[in-house]
Amino acid sequence: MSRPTAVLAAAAAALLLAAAAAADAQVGPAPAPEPAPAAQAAPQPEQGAGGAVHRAAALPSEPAESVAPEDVVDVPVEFTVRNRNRTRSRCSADGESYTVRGHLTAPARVLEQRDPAVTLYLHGTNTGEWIWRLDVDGRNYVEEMAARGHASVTVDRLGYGDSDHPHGLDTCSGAHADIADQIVSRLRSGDYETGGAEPAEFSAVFLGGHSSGGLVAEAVAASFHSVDGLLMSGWAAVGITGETNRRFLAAYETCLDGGEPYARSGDPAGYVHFDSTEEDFLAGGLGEDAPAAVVQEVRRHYTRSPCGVLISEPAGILADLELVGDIEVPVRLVYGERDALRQGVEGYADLFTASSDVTEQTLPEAGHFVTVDANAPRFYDGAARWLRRHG
Amino acid sequence: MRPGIAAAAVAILALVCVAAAAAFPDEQPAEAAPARPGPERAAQLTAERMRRGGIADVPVEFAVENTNRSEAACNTDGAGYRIRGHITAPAQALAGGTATLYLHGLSSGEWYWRMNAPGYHHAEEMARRGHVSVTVDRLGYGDSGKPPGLQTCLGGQADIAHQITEQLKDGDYTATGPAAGAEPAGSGEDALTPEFDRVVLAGHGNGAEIAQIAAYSFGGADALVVLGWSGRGLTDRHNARFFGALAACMQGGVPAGGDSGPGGYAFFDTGPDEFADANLHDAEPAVVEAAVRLQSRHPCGDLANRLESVANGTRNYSEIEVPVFFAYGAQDEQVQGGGSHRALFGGTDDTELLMLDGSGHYMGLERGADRLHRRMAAWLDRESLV
Repeated sequence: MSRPTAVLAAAAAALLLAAAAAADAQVGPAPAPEPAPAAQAAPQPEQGAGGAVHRAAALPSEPAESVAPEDVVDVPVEFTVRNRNRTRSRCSADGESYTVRGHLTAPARVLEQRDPAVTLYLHGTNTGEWIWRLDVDGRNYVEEMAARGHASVTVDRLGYGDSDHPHGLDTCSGAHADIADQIVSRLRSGDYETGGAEPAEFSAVFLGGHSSGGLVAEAVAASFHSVDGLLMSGWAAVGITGETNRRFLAAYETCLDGGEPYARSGDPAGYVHFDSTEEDFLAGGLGEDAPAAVVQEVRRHYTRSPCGVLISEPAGILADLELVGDIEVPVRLVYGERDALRQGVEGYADLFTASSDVTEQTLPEAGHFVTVDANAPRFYDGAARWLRRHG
Repeated sequence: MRPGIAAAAVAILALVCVAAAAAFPDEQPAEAAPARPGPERAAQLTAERMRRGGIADVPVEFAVENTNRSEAACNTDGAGYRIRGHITAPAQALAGGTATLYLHGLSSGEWYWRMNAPGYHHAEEMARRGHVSVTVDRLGYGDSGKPPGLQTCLGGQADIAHQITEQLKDGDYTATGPAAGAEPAGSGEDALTPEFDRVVLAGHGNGAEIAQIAAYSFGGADALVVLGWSGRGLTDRHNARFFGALAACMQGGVPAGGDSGPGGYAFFDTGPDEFADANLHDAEPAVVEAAVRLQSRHPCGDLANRLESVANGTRNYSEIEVPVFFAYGAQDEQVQGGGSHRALFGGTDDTELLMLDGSGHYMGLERGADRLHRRMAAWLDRESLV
């Protein structure tokens, strides 16, 4: 069912105004004095960073670590989880057990360390694990991070890709945060499947969230205080654009009618394309300067999302605006300058009033899918430096 | 704004202006003076009417916990609050039997069921027809407790409705003052707070969504009344307002009352003209004026989780097995699709649908209200809910 343009425009305008006001109205505490950069490391300004408040020094440049591809481990992992919601962002889930599948990608020597660190990455509403593992040379995020010395765990969230698919209305954003926390615990205890290999026990676990995966990550940090830092990309609980609202409303109409099968007839029902067309999917995700190979590969990943995740996000965002002030760990925010789904995010960093370490980076020419879009290598470099500093 | 809506807005504005010089028909002074009773005088006149009509009106209070055990998960603070309202009944009938618990909508309050205007006081009109009504300010509204606006939600409101239902059946609630109107037949505290055998849950707008959640989550209601609500029939105009209100909530909202109280509240309609235009299609000017004066701000949590509760609710309506009475204003600017909504209730073959031609969203405050009162009372009689 289509909605009249005027109504959508009005709704979009209202939310844009609110987002801008929210971003403008709330200013965090005065920034802490920036420590002097290390004498031996020449300061390197954040690429394309905006003028927002930073409560931490610009990341010092360090010699880039280089790990050869043959020294990188890339193994499938899976986690048995319960689809429940004990977070501070309540929404409906069926309480059943499911399997969440993904990969561990890391330099082999990191897994042999006594106290290794890892980052668990959560994709957004309309993507999947693929956004961290795109099959394009130089745009596979986890390979790039491994080459820079860092371990990553990527998963398809419940209802996505290779993970189990409940009825799409039987899970939600808050439940995904609970599941993420369960996975964090398993990564710390080594209680997960790695295809027969001995699972590593990680001492430090960071959460990476792209788009609404950031909403999930923030709910984890504020509800469970179980992670060591947040590395967010393409996410802010403010600055939601009319393009986002247009997609949301159309998808919501489909969900109200019960949604669609996940992929084909006979699959669990309650799923929906967030972007009603493949063209919308690409236009909403990638900037005009995205490499052709990236566009071609991303096109393959136009799939449906669980309605329960989608419909729980507005209330989740409202709750999140209160929760972010309780997040005490370091936070890094990475934006695409030409993100069609988020704009006016300049004040978002100021909402993290309990964290003394909030940095942000804006990637020139990049759209919403900053992990693979134009200038993504700057994201990789900055994330690697940030993880090295905190891990 | 659509041309029709613009015309309606102009018409209502004109009506409001005219209303300033009008009075309720049966309160018209002998001389042609334009004076209209103020709110206090209007309440006195209502009490006098009730006394003459043998209707008791008892102020009551319920102690509840703002928790959520419903099937519509959402955030509540778990704290204790007081829910305040009234029991309005034929004085001779205030001794058990069936009570209907009324839950108001997003932008109204208990006042929606207790408009001090002859023919538009729903509880009074139902009492005239022999039925007991319990009206309350839902949590966050009017005289009831007010949590932070993001710490209440539809599932929590449904839980509270269920708690009140149980308390009505147990007689476990408090009269906070003497009865207005006629004296109840019995004497003492128990006469004011009887145990009811059956409780009907009735809701208007958002209140109907809450009643539905309570009905399929707890099963404590003996029948259901859905007035002006269909989650799949919300109009474009309503959705535009919904996102406007959500935007206001994203900015932090406003305090619960005036300039004080907990934050996280918002107005659904911006300004009196929009409020009147969106909710009232054909109302007497004096009623329009009174309703506009009473427009309520809502807790943001009640708004924000509606998208989820509505989508999930469509899977649960078939679990409702009790009789259901549906009523809609044919000219409702906010909600359409009453017939389609009724069709979702496959768990009961005992439903009745009333379409009020010429009425809008606030059908109980419009010129067609008498038909609503008559039909609903007749339905309660047929279902032996007396």
